[in-house]
Amino acid sequence: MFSDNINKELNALYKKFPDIKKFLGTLGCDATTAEDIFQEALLIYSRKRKLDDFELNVEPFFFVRSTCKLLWYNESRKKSNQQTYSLEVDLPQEVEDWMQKEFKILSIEKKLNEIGEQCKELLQLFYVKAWSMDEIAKKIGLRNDKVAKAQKYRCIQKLKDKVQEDVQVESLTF
Amino acid sequence: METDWSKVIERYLGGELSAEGIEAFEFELSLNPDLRSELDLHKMIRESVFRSAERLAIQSIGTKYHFRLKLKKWLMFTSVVVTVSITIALVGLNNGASESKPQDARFVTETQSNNEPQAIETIDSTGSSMVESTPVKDYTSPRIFRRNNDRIVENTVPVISVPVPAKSDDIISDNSQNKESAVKSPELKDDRKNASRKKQRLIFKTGLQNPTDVKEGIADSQIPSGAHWTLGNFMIYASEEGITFHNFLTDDLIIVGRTPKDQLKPPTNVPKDKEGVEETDPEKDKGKIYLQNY
Repeated sequence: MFSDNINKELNALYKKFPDIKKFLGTLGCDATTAEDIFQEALLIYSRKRKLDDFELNVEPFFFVRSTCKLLWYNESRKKSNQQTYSLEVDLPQEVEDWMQKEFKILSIEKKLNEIGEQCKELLQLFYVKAWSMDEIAKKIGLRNDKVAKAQKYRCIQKLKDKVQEDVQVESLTF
Repeated sequence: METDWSKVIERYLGGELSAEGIEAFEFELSLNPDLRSELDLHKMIRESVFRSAERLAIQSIGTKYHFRLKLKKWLMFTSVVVTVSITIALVGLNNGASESKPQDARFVTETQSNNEPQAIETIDSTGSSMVESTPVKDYTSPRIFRRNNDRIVENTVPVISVPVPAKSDDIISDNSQNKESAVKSPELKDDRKNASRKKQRLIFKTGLQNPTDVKEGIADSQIPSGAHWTLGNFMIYASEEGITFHNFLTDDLIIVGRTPKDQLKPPTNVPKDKEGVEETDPEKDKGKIYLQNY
């Protein structure tokens, strides 16, 4: 999934998880949530590392730690009734926008788990592993590449419908 | 209509549109904000599929991290347990070594009693061996022969436990007139070699031959009257009064004699002192062991 360099970096960063857990603990975050947030931060870091225009001005550990802080801020803001920590400074608009996009993608990712294993596997084989439709058809037991292609559009449509449902619920709620 | 746009968007993002198609699609994008939103959604779907796979990879790194952490803790715990166990064993061995240097004969007897084997390998007078699994509790208390010339007089069938002595003269000799029941020295020597390799004690059964014993089926393990065996510096002598054991060994070699309780018999004649023997009542003296030191 990751290149060898990024994989090594992520393994090295994971060894510093106890420091992150301790840091988030001082902000009122429990151990389980701390690991979820830490993994999310590593995911963001790995994606940033792939971007050509990404410039890292600090050590990777401090970047991940700052990301964890932002993620925990958002998490505690969502659970406002249980809020134990709030940032002392306002976030810049660009960071806010970036975070909103990240959460939107995260929300779609969660919906991906609701469209069925076959759809999820098909989309992953097509987008991530770049398999041909013929290979995918054989792998997941479809008649031919045309059927696989039609199935791919059905899966995308199913996912879009799920996202739309979510948007409608949010518009009704707020 | 939406489905059609969906296919066009997928082809556009997949680089499958022709140059004219791309131009037309991008022109439509500039006019249609809904299409732009739709394109953004498709991009985010692709992103989320990638991210899902990446998340799995990161979770796998996390699983490996926790496994290594647990393994490290387990190895540390195990090494501590092993170290403590070895220390306890060494301390126990040291204590055992200090206890094996008794100050008097009584202390030796008690210590030896605790170390007696549960299953006894018996080497009979024909040199063949067998294993007895009789529990220790079915034997009399161990009698220790370690002082020079210790002697026991009885006509029961004791089990003798002799350490494998690293003596040059460790042979069995026999002056019995009944050669058929005498110990076959080469065979016993082989057994002793095997025992030496296993760091065991030689254990064999013997007793005074008489008609009663023959009935009990133990005649083949007895010394015929008038015979004597020597094992290194250890001698067994059979006479009408019973079995006499002589130990000429030094203090660092201990010979243990025990008798199966079901085979205990009172001696017919027991030496009162050096001058003579005293007649005994077989019923009254049943179960008694007579040990005489010279």
